[in-house]
Amino acid sequence: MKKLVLTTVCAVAVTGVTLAQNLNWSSVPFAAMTAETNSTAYSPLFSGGGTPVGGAIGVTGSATGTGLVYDYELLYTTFSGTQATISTLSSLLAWNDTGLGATNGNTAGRLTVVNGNSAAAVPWTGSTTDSIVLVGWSADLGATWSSVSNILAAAAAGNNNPLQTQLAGQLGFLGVSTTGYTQTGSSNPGATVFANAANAQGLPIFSLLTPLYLVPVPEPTTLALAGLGGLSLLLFRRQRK
Amino acid sequence: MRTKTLLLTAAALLAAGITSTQAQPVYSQNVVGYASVATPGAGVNYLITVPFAIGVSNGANEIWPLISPGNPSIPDGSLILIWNSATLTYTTYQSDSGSPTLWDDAGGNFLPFSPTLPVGQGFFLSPASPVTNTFAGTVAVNVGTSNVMVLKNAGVNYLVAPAVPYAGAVTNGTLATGAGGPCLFSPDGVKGLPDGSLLLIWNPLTLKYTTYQSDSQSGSFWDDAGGNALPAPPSITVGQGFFLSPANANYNWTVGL
Repeated sequence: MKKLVLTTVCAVAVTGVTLAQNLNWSSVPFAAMTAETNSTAYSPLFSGGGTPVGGAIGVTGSATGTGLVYDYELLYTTFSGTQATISTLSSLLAWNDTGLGATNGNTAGRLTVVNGNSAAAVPWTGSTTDSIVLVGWSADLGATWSSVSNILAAAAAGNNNPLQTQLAGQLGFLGVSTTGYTQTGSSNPGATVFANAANAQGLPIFSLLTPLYLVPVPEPTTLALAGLGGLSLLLFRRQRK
Repeated sequence: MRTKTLLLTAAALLAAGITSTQAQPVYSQNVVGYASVATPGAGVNYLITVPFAIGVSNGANEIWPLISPGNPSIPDGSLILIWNSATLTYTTYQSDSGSPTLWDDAGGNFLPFSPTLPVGQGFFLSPASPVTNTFAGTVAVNVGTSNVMVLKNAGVNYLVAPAVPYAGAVTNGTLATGAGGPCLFSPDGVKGLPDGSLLLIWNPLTLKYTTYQSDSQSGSFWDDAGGNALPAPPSITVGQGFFLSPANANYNWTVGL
């Protein structure tokens, strides 16, 4: 019995070692990744958005200076053999969450990791290459990527109510970095996530001034007007009959 | 008058020359030099060390000073990771020529101090773009003397480097010939590294360590990670750091010049 327990413990230990797939999540170097808000345009991930008038572009404010919080999450998906593109909300929502997050630092435009770890474990199989992207959003869209992605999934399905409720009239910002791809490392420090050139593990994310665009939210009044229009058409059609 | 001045001047120069000649052995104990350590991959983690005493404290701002205002000698956004053998974690710093100390914390916030990288300490450098680091300073060990680094705990990974600029095998000699000549470590039984101590050498391309075990009974004094005798000892280059995990407590690593 003791032998069995020992064998099991050893097997678990070995499995644990095998599964430890690490990324270096100790810092987001500002030479490779910064962010800015862009309220001159709606996020291209949403279809049918117009162009807001009177917007501006500027680096995301510092957490201490502005009090505005921007959150970021590293996502991953299977590597197809080429650098991935994300053109729609649905394609973004198909990516998986690594559980590694960041927020805006005290210097405008820069990011600081949450729970920094130079050998942060990620949940993908070792010795495989996966695509990676950093998604960023203003905190008024939600505190976690899980909650934000649920709201965005509803919006992608045509239900804007959760989005309207969440923003409550505030401006929401959403953006994605350029994508990269990498193998993980099994040592400490792990594989590099952000850099301006490819390395032996793949292509790190290089995305200076990553735009966080305005999230389009159909106004309730617009919806109401559209509803009234539809009702009028229906009445008009009945009268003609 | 002119001749007298000339003679006096010549005498003074001669005296100075004699003084200089007599003082030479004293001054020559401080050896100065420089090393070029290439870190050619952007975002790649290199395990290096600063092999010279530079400036007042070996501060990162002294090691990589501004060449001119706004013109840093290390690309902005480069990362250094400094190991803490007690917590087994790294502290990350970013270079930033706009910071008063030339360095930020991991989040890109100005630091009120510059991290120090003393001789004998290894650290990771991840340059924001390819760079060749020129480390110019004084050899930290005087001629005829030794530096002793005490590694207190057995089985703990210390991120270290030689106290002098050194390239070559970490031990000299073989079991047949015996240890001899300049070397970093003396095998057990001579004055040295306890058998079963681990040396981990980093490969920045594969992100893996190669582990070596010291073994005074092995022909090269070294085994692989599995305890199999190796035909030759591991080697290092100038400016390279490595992990050392001594098999016994209170190992005194003595490096002389």
